[in-house]
Amino acid sequence: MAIDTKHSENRSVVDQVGSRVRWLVAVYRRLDLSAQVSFWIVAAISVAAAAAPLITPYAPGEQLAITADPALKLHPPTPANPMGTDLYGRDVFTRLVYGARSSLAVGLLAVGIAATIGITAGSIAGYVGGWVDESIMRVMDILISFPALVLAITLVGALGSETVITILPVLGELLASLPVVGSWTSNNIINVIFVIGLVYSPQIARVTRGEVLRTSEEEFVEAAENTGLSRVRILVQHILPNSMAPVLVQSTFLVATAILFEASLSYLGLGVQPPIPTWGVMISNGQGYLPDSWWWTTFPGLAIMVTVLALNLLGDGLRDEFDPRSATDGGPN
Amino acid sequence: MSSLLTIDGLTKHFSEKDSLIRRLRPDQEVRTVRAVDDVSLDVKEGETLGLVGESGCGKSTLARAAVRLIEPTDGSVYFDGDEVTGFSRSELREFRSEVQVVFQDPFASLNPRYTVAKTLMEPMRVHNIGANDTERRERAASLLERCGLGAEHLDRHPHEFSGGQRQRIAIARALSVEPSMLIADEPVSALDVSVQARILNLLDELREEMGLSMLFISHDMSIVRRVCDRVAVMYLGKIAEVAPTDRLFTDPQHPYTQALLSAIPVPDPTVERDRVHLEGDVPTPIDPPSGCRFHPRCPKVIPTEGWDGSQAAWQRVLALKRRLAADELDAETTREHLEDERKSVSDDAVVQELYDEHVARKGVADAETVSLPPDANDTVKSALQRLVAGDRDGAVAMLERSYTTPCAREEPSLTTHGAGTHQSACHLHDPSFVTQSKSQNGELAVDGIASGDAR
Ligand code: SF4
Repeated sequence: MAIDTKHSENRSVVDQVGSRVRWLVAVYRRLDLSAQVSFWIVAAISVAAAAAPLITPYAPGEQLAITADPALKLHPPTPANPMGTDLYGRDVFTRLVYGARSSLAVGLLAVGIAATIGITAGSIAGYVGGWVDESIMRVMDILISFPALVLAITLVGALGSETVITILPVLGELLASLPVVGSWTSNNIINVIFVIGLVYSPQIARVTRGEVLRTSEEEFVEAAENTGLSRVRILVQHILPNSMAPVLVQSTFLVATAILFEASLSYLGLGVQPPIPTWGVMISNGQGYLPDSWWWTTFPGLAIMVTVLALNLLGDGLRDEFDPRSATDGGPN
Repeated sequence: MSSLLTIDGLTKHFSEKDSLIRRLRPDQEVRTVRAVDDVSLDVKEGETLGLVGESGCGKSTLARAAVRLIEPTDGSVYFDGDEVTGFSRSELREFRSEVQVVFQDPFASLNPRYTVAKTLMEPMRVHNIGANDTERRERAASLLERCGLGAEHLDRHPHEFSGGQRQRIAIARALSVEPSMLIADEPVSALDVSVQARILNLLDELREEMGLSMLFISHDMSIVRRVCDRVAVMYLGKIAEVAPTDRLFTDPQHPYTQALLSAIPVPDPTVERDRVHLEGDVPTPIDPPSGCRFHPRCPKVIPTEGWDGSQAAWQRVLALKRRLAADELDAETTREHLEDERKSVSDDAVVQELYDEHVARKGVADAETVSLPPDANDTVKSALQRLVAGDRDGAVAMLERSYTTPCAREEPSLTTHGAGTHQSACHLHDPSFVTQSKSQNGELAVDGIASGDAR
């Protein structure tokens, strides 16, 4: 009997993974065409970013004008350099692919930070209520009432050359353990990620709070209280998992916004510092050479546009799918 | 039989939702919803007590407040001698393993992200039932089987089940902590009729097997009759009548219970039965009616002192008063109507027309013509004259002054019938109240009980 049970538990794990995959496929199938296409665009960009060294023979900082041919400065597109080269003889395509890494990493990590702050604050506010709710949401209101860019510039400026890691060593260790990002810990990019995350956390907090309030009214929450489960567990195990769909949708939009935001900061010279290539830095550096060497700025500009558009369309599709007002089941775990 | 759950003077008031708009209007007072008002009841060991009433009468609120799923405003609850209303957080958790609720809607009461196993094992974990998860899983499997679902369903999610199956899962969850009492809150009203009987049977079997006591909430009199040992009838947050099931169904004492019973469809169409018709909508528990809360709809409402007409005539006067107050009578429409028919449109003619239509109900299908006593006739007509003259408030006040039921003045207390197990809250059964009215009304109050507004 004991062996039987164990066996069925093993099978249940397989079952669970299987049912989750089936559920994801089902969600994908229900998306509209533009969201499906967007999904593949985002997937392609992500794969390209992850596999950057396999896609291009050059390193992002490699100055071809020095290592190969002096004529490769501001050279228009050729089969070998499909997007041309920049002033320093670096391959624009290579920098674009590596830039996708930093752009996506900034987007995902910033949203990760926004989600950590926002979900914590929003769920406590929504579930505890009363003056706790009031004070948390007032702080969020203050954050949201500043124009985001102004707030970010101020914060990045205030941090100066110091990175957040010197202030929050735990966060530093966590980031250092991640691939790609691990080598960035001393770069300003960490500050940019952190500040963007902070600036956008109120949006996640608001959505989370609303959802937590709505889910708290559900009868299964009352049923959980009826079993004697503690309030913390009710929040974490019953309310939050059933409140996350709209937060996920919101996060998709925020990744797009964060990518755009990083580009704006970098364009202003306040964002990511060399040598890390980002699309914003490329546009910023190349703008002075625009009429003649259009490829230096046009390709990163297009990359930003396509990525942001795809993420937004995907978010739209997911929102239609997960809209709490259109009754759908929550899907497996 | 000793009492297991004792509810004593339990009260639950909600303040209407506070909002910014409301706060900007300090002139508007916060209105209180008196969902449950000073209710006392007890559930004895091993018995099933039914709690019936129309939706919105506060029965679910009463049950939730009794187990502190919502905090009661006032009153106390005792379980097995301990005061539930005084429990600390940890004592309350202990108590949860004694009394379990089965909720109405099995589509809402199960976490959609939990598998059946997780749903059943979580309460066991909270109450340290079973040494480890393997044991708990085995227990969950056997519970599920006991509730009529195979153990192969353990790893499924709620959306893979039908309503009846979900309710079986919910029942298994309630039983997973080995409670001594169940509160079943309309456990079958969300289910298909074909499934209802099977779930009721299951509950009945489990109750017997495990010696459970039960508080069974329902709006369906026929289900209550089948399931319960005793029944409490609730109206607008108050208990109207409590009696052993047999007595309640054969000898109902409260006019509200009588009306409810007369509404049960009779399976045999040849059986003729008086159907008591309830006037008006269920009032809201915000500002409930004064005195006996049933008085605006009561077919036997006690006439005012000195009334010497019939109960039917009294009902007509009250109905007129109600319509006037609700602004349902329009003198000008009536006047136009008369004009169309090329009749006189003098004020007197309009008064007469209103009177014929709403009091005498001449020509109204299905309504017998009723004549009022002469003095009432005069008062009603002069009230209608005021209405025609444009003074509706005056007309209402006039009727209000002359024709207010004593039932609206005082709240009836529970009086005992027979062996003491049967109680109802109606002034008709309060000897002092009835004699006082009787001395002025002759046998009217009694006449009211006998004839009612029977059709
Ligand atoms: S007290 Fe009066 S109004 Fe209330 S039920 Fe009895 S007769 Fe009807």
